[in-house]
Amino acid sequence: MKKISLKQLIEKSSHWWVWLILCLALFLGLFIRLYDLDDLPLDFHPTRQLHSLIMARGMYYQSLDDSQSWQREFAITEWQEEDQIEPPIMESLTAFGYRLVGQEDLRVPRILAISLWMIGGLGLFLLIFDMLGFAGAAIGLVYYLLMPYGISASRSFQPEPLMIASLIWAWWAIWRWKANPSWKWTIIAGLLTGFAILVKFPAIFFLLPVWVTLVLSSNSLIQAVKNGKVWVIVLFAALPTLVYTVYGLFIDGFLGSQFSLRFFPNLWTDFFYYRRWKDLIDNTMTLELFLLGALGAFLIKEKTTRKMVISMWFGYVLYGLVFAYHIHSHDYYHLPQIPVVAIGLGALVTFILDHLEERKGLIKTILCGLIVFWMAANITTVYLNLRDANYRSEGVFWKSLGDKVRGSSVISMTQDYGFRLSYWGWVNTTHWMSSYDFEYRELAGNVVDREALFNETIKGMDYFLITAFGELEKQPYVKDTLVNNYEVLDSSSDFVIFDLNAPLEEQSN
Amino acid sequence: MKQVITGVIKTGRTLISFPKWWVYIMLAIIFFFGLVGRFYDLDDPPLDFHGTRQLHSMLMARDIYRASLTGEPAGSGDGQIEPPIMERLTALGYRLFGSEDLRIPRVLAISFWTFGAVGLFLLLKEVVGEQGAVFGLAYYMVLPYALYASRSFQPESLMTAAIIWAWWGMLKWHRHKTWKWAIIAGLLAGFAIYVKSPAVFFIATAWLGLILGSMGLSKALKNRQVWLLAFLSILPFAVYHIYGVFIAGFLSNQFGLRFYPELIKDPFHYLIWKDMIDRTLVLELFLIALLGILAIKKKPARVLFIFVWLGYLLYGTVFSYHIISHDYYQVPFVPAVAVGLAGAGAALINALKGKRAFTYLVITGVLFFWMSINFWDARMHLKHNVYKTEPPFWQMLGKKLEGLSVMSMTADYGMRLTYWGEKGSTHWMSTYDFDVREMAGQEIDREALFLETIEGKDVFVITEFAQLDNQPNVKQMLYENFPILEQTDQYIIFDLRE
Repeated sequence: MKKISLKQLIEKSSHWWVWLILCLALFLGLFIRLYDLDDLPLDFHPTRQLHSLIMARGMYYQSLDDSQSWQREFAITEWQEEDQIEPPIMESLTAFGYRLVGQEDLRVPRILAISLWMIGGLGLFLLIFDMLGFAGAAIGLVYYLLMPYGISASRSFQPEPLMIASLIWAWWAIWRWKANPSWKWTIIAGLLTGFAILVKFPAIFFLLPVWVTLVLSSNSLIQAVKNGKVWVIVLFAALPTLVYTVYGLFIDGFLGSQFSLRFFPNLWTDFFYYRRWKDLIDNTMTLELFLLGALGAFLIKEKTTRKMVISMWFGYVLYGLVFAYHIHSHDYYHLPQIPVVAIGLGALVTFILDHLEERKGLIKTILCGLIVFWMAANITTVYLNLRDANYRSEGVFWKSLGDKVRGSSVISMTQDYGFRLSYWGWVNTTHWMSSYDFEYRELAGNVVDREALFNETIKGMDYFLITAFGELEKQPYVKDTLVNNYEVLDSSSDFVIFDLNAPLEEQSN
Repeated sequence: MKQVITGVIKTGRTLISFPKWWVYIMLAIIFFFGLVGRFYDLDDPPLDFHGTRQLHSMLMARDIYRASLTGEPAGSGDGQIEPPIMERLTALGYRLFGSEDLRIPRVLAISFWTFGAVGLFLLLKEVVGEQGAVFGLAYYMVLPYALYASRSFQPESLMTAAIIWAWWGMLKWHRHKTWKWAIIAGLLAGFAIYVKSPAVFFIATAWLGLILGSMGLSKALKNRQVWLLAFLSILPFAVYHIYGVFIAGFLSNQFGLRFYPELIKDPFHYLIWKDMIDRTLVLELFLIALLGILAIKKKPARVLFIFVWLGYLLYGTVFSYHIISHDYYQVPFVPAVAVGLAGAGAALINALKGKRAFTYLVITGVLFFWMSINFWDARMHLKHNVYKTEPPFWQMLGKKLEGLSVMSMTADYGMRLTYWGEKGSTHWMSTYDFDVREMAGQEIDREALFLETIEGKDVFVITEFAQLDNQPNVKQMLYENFPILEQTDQYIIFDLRE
């Protein structure tokens, strides 16, 4: 592999248009992510974000020695009741941030997520730069920073921005290790791989194929097995997650129930699963750009690089098959593929630019113009979406609702599994499952007698609180039972509270 | 070492270029997806795409058909903008088959679009070569929006095909420069503009581009063939226009509510335009196509299509309201985007020469995947949108209203009731219609207009409940002043006589 320094490459390929789109991508990418920073984080997968917010709050309150209030106790209890799959790194960093700024400021996790995405962007730029050159790196970065879905996802309080940043840096280190398989790079690459998998386990699908491909492209299997560096890499890559899993499963036990409702091989034979998967690719990455990214991977000139990038695509397919349910229902499961598509697009543009025969200047100028247009169009769309979606009143609403029912035992049919009420209202409720949750369990083979479950759940409870009216319509049995049997304690256009201790019959008697 | 088709041979690995048969296989796949997708669900009533526009043509075609059966002249031509070519052909089809079979206009529209595809392939073969043409044709035939639009009973399919053949004629003339080709090219261009006048934006600019890119303006002005081309391009529309405006008069009111220059200054106009491009043409492919135009090697064709793109810009600026509100205003630009994609595809294939066979397989796979997924999406969309219950409903309603003077707030400006129910009505405008008129500077006193309109009417029939909710004054006046004659969850009939 021919090695050229970053400085040399930049000097060699200092095209104004590449600099222009690079600077614009960085500026616009950062600007749009920081816009509307203080709106409540309900714009993107609120359930997932509230889960992390509740955990971070618990950690923060635990660190406040002087606070012995009921709120401290509540925050810690709520945190500890949250299911934990991944190590709560983002949550711990956020709690640390709260301590630094002296309050539970919801801009902290947003800034953290954005920073990590940008750090990932730096790694991606360096990786594509090494692989393909300056223009390819800039194009890849434009896609990574300015795809509308990527913008929304990278403002979200969940482990994905950290996972993707660490994934990218792991690829970068693997690439470095391939160019220079010294002990230093062996350790760095192994550690970064291990860290990425620790952050969120599915990262393994994007790392293991890359490692296998690169190791076996220069060694036979026997040579690889005899190679001490390969063993060090395996050890470093596996150790953190192994320790975490052993601890979570066998010592502390918090991981015990986390592997159910995860694998749905029955979906593999369902055509609609693939169609929905395709729809989510289109929604998150744009189908046409995704396909061009795939094509770009095959057009990479250098063989090892090509194999490495193709192995990432292979990993994505495998990942989608293993997490068959999540890949066609949770759009953020597509996030790790964004940098892979970015590399492919960088490769495609590099290939085309390398083969331009005439009117090079004009075509590059027009290409630059089109990319600027694409960036501006995306930025405007996201800007308007953020501007028009305002969640600031939510906090006040849930707080007032919490004040109404605090101290009573409550079943809730509210947004995000009752998390909003728990977070802003400081009230813990028993959440009544949505029709979606019932269907999900039925898909996994669980048989649920909804009516019996309902009658059993309301026993001994004080109130049934409803804010998700659409969901109530989907469960007519629940609606009929409540409306026909219980008095309404309080209601407005936003909520209704049924008093389970005041049956209508008793009232009329 | 293997003998390969193009003779690109290297030791150790198979290096090929796209073989000839690849083009034929791809063409077969493209036409398979394109035609099966279009012919699927053929007998569903044509309400799946711009119901109002299709009903307008259906009513005209029926009028022509029935008039031809009785020997009486067809309607006055009210509401006619373009010459009713599609409608006349449909009426002819009705006569041939002896019934008003709504599959006839669908098949006609699909046939025109497919005929355009043949022209596009011949054009692209000339401009970028057969292999590049495959990319353009795949887009033209399997783009989901184009698939729906080309099943629709409206002039767009014919206009688009005519534009494509006009471009083809232009390039043929440019190559041969004979009087024969000048006449053919001129007539084809003239026909395209005659079918629907907005085609002028894609024809005039193409002429300008071709002339500037090949001979220059001063030389062109001295060329008699160019004058003939200009004359033939303009003649059919000019005759139609003069007849429609000054002799028959049916075109005199057709230029109102068309031009909204204030939109040009509104940044949101461009944002919505961009969204419309994305929804119909796919923004990313649109941008790649623009780049692809520049990659066309033959200068006259390249300049021609650069000017066509400028024509689109001008077209969108002139029809600033329609370009952001009527998605089918993007239809004539589908072939221009296809040309750009063909240019990009040709450039890619050219760059790939000498690459391994596997890379070509990947390109084929990507193209196949894109087409098959779009085809399947379109099929599912058509399968799930069923309108077969509509005709019996409107027939039933029509029977109920027989002999009554009706005012309506029903779907598609009352045209469903008119077509299937055979019951004409005075349609009460929607809030959207009021807004358009107010945007054009008209001032309307809605209450006074309502009271004036209901005078002498027997009943007010409503099937558009959301629209009624949008006009609370009308709702209040109806509920407070008139008894309900009949009500179901599908319609309400107010008795205006009491």
